[in-house]
Amino acid sequence: MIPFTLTVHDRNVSHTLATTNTGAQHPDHASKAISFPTNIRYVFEDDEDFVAEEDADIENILIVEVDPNLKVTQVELISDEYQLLSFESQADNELELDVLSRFCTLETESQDLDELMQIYKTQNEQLNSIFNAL
Amino acid sequence: MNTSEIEALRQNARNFLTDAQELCQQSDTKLMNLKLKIQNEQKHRTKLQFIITGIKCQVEFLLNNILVKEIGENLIEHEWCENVLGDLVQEMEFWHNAIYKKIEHLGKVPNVLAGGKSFLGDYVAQESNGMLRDKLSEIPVIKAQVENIRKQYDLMVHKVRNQLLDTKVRGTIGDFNVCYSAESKNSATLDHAFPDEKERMEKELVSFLNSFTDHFDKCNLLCEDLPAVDSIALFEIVKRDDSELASIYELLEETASEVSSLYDEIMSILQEREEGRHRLMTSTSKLFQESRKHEEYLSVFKGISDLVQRFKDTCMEELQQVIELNTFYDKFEKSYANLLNEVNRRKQVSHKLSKILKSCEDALQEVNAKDINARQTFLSENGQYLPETIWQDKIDDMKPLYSMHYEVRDYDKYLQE
Repeated sequence: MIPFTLTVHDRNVSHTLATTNTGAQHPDHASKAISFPTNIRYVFEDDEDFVAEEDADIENILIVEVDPNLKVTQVELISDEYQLLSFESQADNELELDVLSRFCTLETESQDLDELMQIYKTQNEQLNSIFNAL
Repeated sequence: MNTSEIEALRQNARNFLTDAQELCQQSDTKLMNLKLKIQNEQKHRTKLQFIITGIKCQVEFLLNNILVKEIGENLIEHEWCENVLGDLVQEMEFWHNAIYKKIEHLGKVPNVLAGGKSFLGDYVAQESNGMLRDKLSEIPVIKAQVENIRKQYDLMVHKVRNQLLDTKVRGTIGDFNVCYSAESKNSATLDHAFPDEKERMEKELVSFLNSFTDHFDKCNLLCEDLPAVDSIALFEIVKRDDSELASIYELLEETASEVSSLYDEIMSILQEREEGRHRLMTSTSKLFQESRKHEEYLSVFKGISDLVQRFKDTCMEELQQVIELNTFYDKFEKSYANLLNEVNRRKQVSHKLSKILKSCEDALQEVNAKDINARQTFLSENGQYLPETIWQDKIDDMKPLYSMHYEVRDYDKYLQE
């Protein structure tokens, strides 16, 4: 099997906030919003040895269901840090995830009321979509 | 040891093995079921925790970033009270006064070029006086709106802080912690006791099943051709084991019933959790509705913000016009003074020109007088000898040789001392 190319977009609004005085995006944010996880361990359904390693330092678990043609049909993310918003698999072996990282205290400096209201609204919608999936 | 005896043992072994297999299967299914249910429960817990933490962040964001910092400090205090109702109004009043005084002053300056019948004020647009006055008259309305919105703001901050954040959100977090407390007996059972118990029970089940399978295998072996010595020894073992089958099966039943009671215990905990989760979902859903409602409330502030901003923009525009007009009127008055200087200058030039012309006229008259004298002398000496037709009409012509017509514009009527 050819490994999946995994692209993860974190839709947390904190990545869109320019917090520095210069108005430029903080370099951390550009790199945190999108990531390409590489340290992936594949475990298959009938893998027997996996249970033994359950306590290894696994950060996030992604359960991917595929059909016989290896087309992704369902994705589930088990994580303390991230919640899955949606997934997309355009080409074979390519998987794009829209996730939401844990909400944190936001620092807003240069945003006007309009922008702040938009952030509030977006976050409500994001939480709501996770809540509705529950 | 005969065939029917062996067959009876084998049948017995088979019966026990089949029963044991079924019992183990049932127990195993129960344990697997529990494991899946617990995993599911954990997933729900993680999601719910994510959402509740998220709502708390949202409410804090609403309270701290949007309400207190942006609306309270930035808009109401800084922008509306200080900038617009404070500084801008002050500046507008200043310039309104300035332009009023300026127009009043111009109204008292007579236009001497018009014979003192009109005043400089007559030449400026009187409506410029009213521009800022109209805007200033709107201030009490704006002020009342800001005061009104401040009350709504105070109320909303109070509601969001005391009712929503400190009561409902913290209450929900408290309920969550009670429901899922790591120290609770339920968590201890689900997170620690269950995995250990499950492992122990699974091992026991496997070992019971192994014993029954092992015994059945031995019975089968007896049916095969074995050397007589081995056969007799094996028969003795099988016979002894056969007598223990019932008691081993009892032990298996004990384990199976332990599994059942563990199943019941865990299921009732999960049931309890499920009920707790439903309560949490209900209160979370209410928190959501309230969060959404605040989106609408915020648009009220947005409306006032837009209104004040529009008011500010038009004020700034008029203020700019008034400031420019004020400068213009200053320059108008200055230029009027320069105009009077200009009139004087032209007057002087006119005098100068008149003087030059006068002296020129005098000089011409002097030359002319001499000319007339010379002609008269010429006529008295020669006139009688010259026939008139020799130079028709010209010999005794006494008209001056020049004529002079000029006009100097009179500026003396302006600016009479």
